[in-house]
Amino acid sequence: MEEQTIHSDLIRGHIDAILLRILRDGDHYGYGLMKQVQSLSDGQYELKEPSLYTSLKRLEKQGSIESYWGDESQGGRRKYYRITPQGCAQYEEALAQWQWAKEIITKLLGGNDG
Amino acid sequence: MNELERHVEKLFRHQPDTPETRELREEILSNLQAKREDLLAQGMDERAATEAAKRDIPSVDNLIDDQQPTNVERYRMACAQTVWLHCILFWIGTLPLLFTGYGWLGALGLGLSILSGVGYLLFWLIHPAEQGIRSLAAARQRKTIAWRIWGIFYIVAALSVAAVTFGSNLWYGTPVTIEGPYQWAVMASRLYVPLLTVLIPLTVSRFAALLPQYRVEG
Repeated sequence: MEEQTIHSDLIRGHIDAILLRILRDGDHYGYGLMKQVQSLSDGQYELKEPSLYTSLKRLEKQGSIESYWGDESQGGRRKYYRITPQGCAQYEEALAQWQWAKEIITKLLGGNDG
Repeated sequence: MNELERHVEKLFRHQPDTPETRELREEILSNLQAKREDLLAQGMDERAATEAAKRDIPSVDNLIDDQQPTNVERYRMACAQTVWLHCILFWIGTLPLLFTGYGWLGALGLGLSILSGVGYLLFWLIHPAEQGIRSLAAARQRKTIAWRIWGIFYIVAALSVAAVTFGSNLWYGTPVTIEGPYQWAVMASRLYVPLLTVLIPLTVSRFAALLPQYRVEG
């Protein structure tokens, strides 16, 4: 459990990009996104609701995603999200930034020694 | 399912009813329901699944943009007007007491009405247009607090009146009697006077209700 907490701090800054990646492959609603995050991380990271909603709100405000209501046969309406062209561009940028940062930090932390 | 609905109701209790909060409410509820269904499908029992769904979202405070761009000057003016109107209502309310020992309250009411009226007038004359940020949830919380404090105050006041009026009777075991309408009136007036202060929580309530009306768009 301790490990999970440390990871959360490190991952928090990337949640927007992670959600964009998932939405690139298809539209999802809130809980669906959470399940995808869990499955893509092989169960090692669990995205919590508050982070999810904050992130979705921010992305929608920036114009990187759009929302629409779905018709469910049972239960309440679900709010689905789809990525926009701007969102795709934002994702590409974030991925490039991350890979560049990963390279530099690994060098600085000495991850390539031994 | 109902328990989740109640949980979401509780989360949004202090939030204003705007299209934004209504949509968020629906979205959170449908996601909680989906989570619960999923946990049930994985073999969890109903109780645990519901609790797990509720646990992940303890509050919505950080999710709602309750910072309202406000036309502060107009809002303040509306508040000043409310204070003034309520002073007048207070004064009117004291009129039945003119022939009792509380006649001085009438003078107080009149004085307050004049003062607050002048204040409101000054506001109206010096009146720059200005915008600011006001928290809607904080205004509603002040309202709740004001009512609770007033409730306590009145209960204490009423109990004190009862103690003073019937204390000797209870102490000495003599029967409680009220001889005649004048005594009734005296006791009623003792209970009525503190009741007039209800205008204070009413004023604070009004301030909270007024705030959404002074929202600035865009």
